[in-house]
Amino acid sequence: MITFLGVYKYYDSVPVLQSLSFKIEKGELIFITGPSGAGKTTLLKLIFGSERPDEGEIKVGDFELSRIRQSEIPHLRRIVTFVFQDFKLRQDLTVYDNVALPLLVMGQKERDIKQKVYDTLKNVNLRHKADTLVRTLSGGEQQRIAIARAVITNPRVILADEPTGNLDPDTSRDVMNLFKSVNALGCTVVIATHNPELFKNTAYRVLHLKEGKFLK
Amino acid sequence: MNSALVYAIKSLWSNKWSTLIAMLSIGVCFFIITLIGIGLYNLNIFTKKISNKAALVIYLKNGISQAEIEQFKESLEKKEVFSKIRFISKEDALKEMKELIEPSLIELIGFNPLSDTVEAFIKDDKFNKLEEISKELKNHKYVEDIYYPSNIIYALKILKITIWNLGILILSLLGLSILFIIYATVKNHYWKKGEEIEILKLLGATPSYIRYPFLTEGGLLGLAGSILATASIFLIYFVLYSKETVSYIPAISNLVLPVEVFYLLPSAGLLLGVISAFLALGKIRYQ
Repeated sequence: MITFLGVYKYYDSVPVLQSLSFKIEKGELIFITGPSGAGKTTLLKLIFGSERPDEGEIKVGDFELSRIRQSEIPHLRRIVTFVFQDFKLRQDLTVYDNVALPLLVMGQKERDIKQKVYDTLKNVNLRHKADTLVRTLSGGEQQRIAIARAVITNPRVILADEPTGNLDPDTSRDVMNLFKSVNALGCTVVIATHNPELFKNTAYRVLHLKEGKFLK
Repeated sequence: MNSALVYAIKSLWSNKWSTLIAMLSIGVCFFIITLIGIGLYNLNIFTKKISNKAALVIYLKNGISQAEIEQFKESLEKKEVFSKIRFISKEDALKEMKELIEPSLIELIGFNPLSDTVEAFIKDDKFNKLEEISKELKNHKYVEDIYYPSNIIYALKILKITIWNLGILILSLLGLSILFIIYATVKNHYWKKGEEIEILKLLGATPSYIRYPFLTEGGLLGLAGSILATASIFLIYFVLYSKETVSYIPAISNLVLPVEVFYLLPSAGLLLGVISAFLALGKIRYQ
């Protein structure tokens, strides 16, 4: 699903990622871990098309990201979605409107959207908050909305950058369970975290990044 | 399309004061543009009327036979530059003169001093050939002399060109002002929605999806401004053409207001608005 081949990324001539080569299979859940500044976020941004590699090849599905055109990025983002640490939700809109947004962007009809949004909100246990303004909700609830928004379009890959960074341990567990359930449906999930509690005692693959390189 | 329209209206409403100022400024610019446009249009009509009245007066030599006069008239017609050719015999000219001058004074001269003349009215589009034709005819064997109002025509020509150039310059500046007002307003609204747009880009919105509401916003601004101007012109039209005004200033009735203004102006507003908004948004880039 995702292939990195000899990928380098520099910021102001300083290497952030160096000679990264790896594959993530379809339907895999994988953790990218490492200390702050190790290059985890940059790696996710490369998969999301927010950054381009300075050297090497990146392939996500049919998209060749080292040569991707600006006009192709919206289409990439319909199969690869992102869950941000700061949620990136529209605070002025309701829970329903936020979750419906990706479907509106894809041009789906209002009547088709309604049922999908309610079903997805039910899966994240927020059906009862559909008409609530996002800004009135807790961090854990906002993160669940962000996950609902990321899964509603049935993407092939979900990227999550420190998804539990601002959450307490119980809420973090709930959020992780959501990712696992999404993954169980066949979606590839890539989680960047520096919190070892998230992957402790799990069978999921963990890639350790340090100074832009994977540790063996 | 509907959602873009609703989004655009909401955006304009949420920035109502800047929207109102922009609409009024656009309206004033369009109003002045229309007044200048109508002025230039009427100037064109006026100069055409004047040029229709401008004729070459060709004095024929004495002793030319009727057949030769006919032949001369035919040769003028063949040139295809005259809209009307009128022959005035010296006898008719004398009659006309007697209506202007005391007949007894003319009787004193004892003979008819006038010549047979031909008045040749030049076509609108051949107006610039007047001087050239006049020179050519002066050498004709039947022609004694030629008169044409060269000074008046030249002054009129210069005046028309000057007014047109000035008018076009002002129109261009006002057009650019409208473009800039809509550009700045839409750009400002776009910047205010920076975070919102960033989220849309992250969710896979295409450039056209992002642009559509702003293009609609620009179009609505242009349309509203031009409708304001159209309504003002409409009002002025009714006041000017009312019986009271016409009876007070009869020259007003000569003023022509082309009805095309009422649909061309809103169309221009809409088009200019969309173009300005498109320029304001520039290239949508993804990060």
